[in-house]
Amino acid sequence: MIQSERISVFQFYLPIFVGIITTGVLTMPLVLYQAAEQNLWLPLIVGSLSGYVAVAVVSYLYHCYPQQTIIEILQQRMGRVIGTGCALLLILCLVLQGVYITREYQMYLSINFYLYMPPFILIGLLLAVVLYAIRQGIEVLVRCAVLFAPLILGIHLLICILIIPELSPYRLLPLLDHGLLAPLQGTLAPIVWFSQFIWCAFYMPAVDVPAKKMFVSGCWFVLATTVALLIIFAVVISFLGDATVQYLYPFDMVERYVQITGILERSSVLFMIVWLLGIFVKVASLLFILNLAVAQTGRGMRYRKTSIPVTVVFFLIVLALFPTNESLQHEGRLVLYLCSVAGNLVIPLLLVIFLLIFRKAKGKTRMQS
Amino acid sequence: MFQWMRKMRKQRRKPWQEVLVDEEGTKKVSASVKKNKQILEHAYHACADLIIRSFATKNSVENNMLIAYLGGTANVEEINEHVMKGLQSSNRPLDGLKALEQSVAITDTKKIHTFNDVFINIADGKPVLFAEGINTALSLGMSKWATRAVEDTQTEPVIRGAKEGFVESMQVNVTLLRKRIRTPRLKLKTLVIGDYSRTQVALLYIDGLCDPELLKEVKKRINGIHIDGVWDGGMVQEQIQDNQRSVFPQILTTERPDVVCASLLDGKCSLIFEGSPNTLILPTTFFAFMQSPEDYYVGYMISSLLRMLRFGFLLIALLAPAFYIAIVTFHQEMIPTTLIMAMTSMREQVPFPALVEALVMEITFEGLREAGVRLPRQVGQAISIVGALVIGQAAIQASLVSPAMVIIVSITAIASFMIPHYELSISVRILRFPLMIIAGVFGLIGVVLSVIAIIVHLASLRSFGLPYLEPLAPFKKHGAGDSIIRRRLQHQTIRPHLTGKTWNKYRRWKE
Repeated sequence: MIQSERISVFQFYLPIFVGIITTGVLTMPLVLYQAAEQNLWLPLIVGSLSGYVAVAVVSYLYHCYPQQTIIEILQQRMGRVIGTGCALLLILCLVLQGVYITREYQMYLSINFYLYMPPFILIGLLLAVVLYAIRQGIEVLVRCAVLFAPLILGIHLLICILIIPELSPYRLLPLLDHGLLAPLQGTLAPIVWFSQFIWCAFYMPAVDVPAKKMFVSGCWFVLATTVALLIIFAVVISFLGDATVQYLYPFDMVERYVQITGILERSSVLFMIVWLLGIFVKVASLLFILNLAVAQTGRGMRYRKTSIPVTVVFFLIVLALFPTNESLQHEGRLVLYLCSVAGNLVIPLLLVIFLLIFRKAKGKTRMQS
Repeated sequence: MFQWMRKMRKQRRKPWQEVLVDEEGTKKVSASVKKNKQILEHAYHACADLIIRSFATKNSVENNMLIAYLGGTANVEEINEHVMKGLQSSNRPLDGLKALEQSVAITDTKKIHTFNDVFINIADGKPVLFAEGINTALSLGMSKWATRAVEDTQTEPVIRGAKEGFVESMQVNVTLLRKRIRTPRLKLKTLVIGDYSRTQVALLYIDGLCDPELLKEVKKRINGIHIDGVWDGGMVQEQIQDNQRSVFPQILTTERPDVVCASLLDGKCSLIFEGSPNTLILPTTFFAFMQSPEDYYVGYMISSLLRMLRFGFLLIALLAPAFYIAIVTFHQEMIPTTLIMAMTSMREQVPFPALVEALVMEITFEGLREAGVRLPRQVGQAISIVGALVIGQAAIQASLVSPAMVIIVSITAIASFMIPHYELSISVRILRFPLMIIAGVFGLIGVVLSVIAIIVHLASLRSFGLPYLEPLAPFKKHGAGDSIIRRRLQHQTIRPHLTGKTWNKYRRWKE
């Protein structure tokens, strides 16, 4: 079904962009601040390199096999056993990343808004809507992302502008007070987030552009993500300063201190609404590619038929893992880092290296003959 | 299993039978007037309104002519003046079809060979003329139907702009369009729907602007309809739109000729039904339902502002009661302290939870609205007085509802009347109730996720291949200037690209 749908290259990257911004803004500042304090811009910029790597991998794969997804390439080029093994590994990584993201959503809501609502209802509601969305296909999914993106970016921008009177930019100083290497310890978190651009490789056949254009616009998207996150983190730190480590969701704090008129001070629920749009786009795109990956790994399965069982199994796995916030912040994050690095960077890079050698060898034999 | 059930249902369906082509219909027009008369009398037995008159021309002894029409549908004076008088006094011998045609002083004549066509022409109000020795009948375009005069539209009034609306005659409606678009490129094809009613439907489009594939698809879908009779476009709309289970209308209905003309110039096509003032415009996007024709007649600034206001009130019409329920039940912290004190003291008297309170009020309001539509105009006043009392003062004094709820219901009502097209306001009314129940059970997160689901649904809809949220999702730069805002007409130089490969990109007056 993926071949029959057409999206533009802008729509191709947009869901991932929206997803990174939404979740990154909420959880990254704390992690980064713990490692790099006010110098967190450095690990962020260094970590964003993984985004360019991911985009390059996607573009290279697209350049070689424009009509296939990464799962199909794995299975057809690496041999049946190794290819299917790698595909299953990728799926496992996707599932565990998805578990972390869904739990993150549930924890945020449970802690801030719905103390007494059972987690399975919060997760089940989201997954029900996501299931409905992914059954409509990638075109509908990216259309939703196109509609939501201005709202999500707009509300973040609005909060950043309205908080300006409260900011004290000197909190961003001193620059690099512990040298260059010390802040780099926090690079892992941005690497994990930016590597998610590799998810585009799961629905490549839906676009129809030259590979070069795909790479260039991908780079622009990575750059835009970096800039957006930099601005928001700068606002967070110049507002909270050292207090950033005190809060699980520092940007939520910033948003609570926005003052314009009496009634809008209580706008955290409105922020939650817009944040929900973003998390929906992220979980939906993840579940979509997960579903497509499962359908393509088991050859002959139909996408529409696997969507319900895949979502239900995913729902059960989410319920089983990381039941408390404590476990999510420690074991959960560890699993996320491991899975992201393995699934989003190592396996695709290995595939690219394999393809480079394979194609070169093939080219040579062709020349000899 | 579902596929098997579907298969079973398909098998059970009876094959459609051609109704009008019965025994007489297949017969050919004979050269003998007597025989033709017999067939007509047989087919139209017990039809007292059929007028059959045999007469003789001046130089004939026997009755060698026959004219037949349905009383009340044809223009009797003109028949007497131009047909009877001419034929009865003419000295020329009628020795062929050409001579017959020339001796009738009428421009619109048509040759007919089968009785099926004879019946259709008589049903159209055209008298049919038979002559001895000629095995072809002549239909005379002298129909005269009783119709309403062209009047103001009741359903889509505007302050500025043309006031006239369509009437129940297809011919008059087409004239209203021809009056506005005076190019021969405005094409019209007639289709027939309804096995018994044989309702004529005009498919209008502009040659060179409209995609031929679209026309083919429209014709295909219309030919697939098997129904006894069609009395309004809505009966067809339901059967030809892409997603028939959606609450959202995917075809625009209008009574205004200027709306149809503007859509035709955008490359859309239109269906006009004989006997109904409502025309269909397709393909259509969601934003067409949020636009009033007046937007283009008043300044671009005010129309942009009004459009944004309409979208705001669309959200209110859909979400206001749901938000009220969610906030009062789950998110009291959103309400400023003084307001929540006031609200608590108001709600203290009310014995019901917010959900029940809201449901009761909304259902009462919907009841009042429906009653107001169905009542004769003289009694309509009474309902509004009673309604105001029931919904307003008395319910509060009896502490059945809180004053805040009354405000919410009235704002919702006003908001739902702000949606320019009635069909969309129906969709909003339908969706409001499930949203209220979800808000009462899950709070704001339920409402937000439901809204996301609605948006996913909207994004998945297509109207004859055109994405429903077109200029915004997928984003089209040139189209977005005429969606939530309206840019100046000078800047709207690019015609929207609807479907297929035919795309006349630039609007003519730019060149």
